[in-house]
Amino acid sequence: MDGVTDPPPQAQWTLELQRRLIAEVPQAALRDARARYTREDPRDTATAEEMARFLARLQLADLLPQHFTDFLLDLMAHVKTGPGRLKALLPRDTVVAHKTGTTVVVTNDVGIITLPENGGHLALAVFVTNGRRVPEMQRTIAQLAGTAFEFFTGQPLPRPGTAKPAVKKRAAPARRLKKP
Amino acid sequence: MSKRLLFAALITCGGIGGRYSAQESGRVDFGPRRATDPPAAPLYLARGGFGDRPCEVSRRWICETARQLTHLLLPLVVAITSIGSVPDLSTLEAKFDRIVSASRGQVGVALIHVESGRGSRSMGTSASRWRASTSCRCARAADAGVARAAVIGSPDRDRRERHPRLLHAVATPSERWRHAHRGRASRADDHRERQHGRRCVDEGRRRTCSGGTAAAGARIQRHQRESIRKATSGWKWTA
Repeated sequence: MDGVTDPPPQAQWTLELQRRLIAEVPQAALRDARARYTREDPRDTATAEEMARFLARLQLADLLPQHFTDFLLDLMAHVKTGPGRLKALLPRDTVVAHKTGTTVVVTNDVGIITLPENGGHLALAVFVTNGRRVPEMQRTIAQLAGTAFEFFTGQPLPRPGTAKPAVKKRAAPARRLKKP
Repeated sequence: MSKRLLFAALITCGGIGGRYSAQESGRVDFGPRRATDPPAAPLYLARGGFGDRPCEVSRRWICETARQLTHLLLPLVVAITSIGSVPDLSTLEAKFDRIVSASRGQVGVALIHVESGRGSRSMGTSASRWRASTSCRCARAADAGVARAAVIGSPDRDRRERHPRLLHAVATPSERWRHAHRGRASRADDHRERQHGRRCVDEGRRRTCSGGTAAAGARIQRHQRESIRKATSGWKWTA
């Protein structure tokens, strides 16, 4: 296995060093390393069940003090990544505190969906690996989230494409005042 | 759940109301029939269900008892059924199975309704999800007073080396204004391009920040790669 043999002192480690090291690794070796990471390395893995249980405990403020729980959930609710995953099919005003995970072959999204009308919260963890394409893997996550939402709210979600598109009003052209 | 409870309560009330109205109508009497009794008219119950059907006079008492029991028990049965008829998780699992089998990859799903603990489940690589649990642990350490600040190298703080999408977090006031008014900034950039006939890296970064072209992004990446190479050229490494 290739690796760094003479690294600088740890105090000098920076993101740039990491980027440079990654940039200099041959593509084939990088692919192999990513494959090892995805399939064989057990250090950065979890089961979906444990992740959902973690989220449920986080929501119940069982892991952190309330103010840290609120802070962390607020951060997760403002995550901009993965709009095509858990949130894709849900109503626009649904609060989803989530965290995405993405590598070359992995598309994940885990989060807490707040149900309407005091329906409680859903902790949902979806891991998709080795799918055909990223959009398909994302669609799988979106469908699972939409199904769970429908099941627990009893309300059918609007089919994509049936919602009326927002009509943009064109600004009226500024009228020029005629000179007297 | 609250809707189901309300529904059950309404049914229960309606059922009880129907029973009382049937008794108060005076057309229902209990007890065995005597020979001297006048022939009874067929019975019709106004409310309460199963009541719009005439009953034979000779079986009047049995029918009425059955009806009363029905009126008593039916709302209760319906109420209990509707309360207990929380959707079966097997239907949800079947739907999940359909979606998962349609997907080409390996899918791991777990769902928990936080408040009730009900849920369904079916291992995967964490990718970036570890950040959620790690930040949780960091916050807990900070709360316990055992966390301390991490030292980040100076190039990490240099905004020129940051990702373009993070520009607004560290940019100068004028650049922040450009980000806030990116439409106008883009038009200003276009105007400058037309004037100068070229576009420098900084302008390209701004355009990427405001949703610019892929070519601008590639140019920035090249620039960043070169700057990283220069900054770390003295280090020994092998890959």
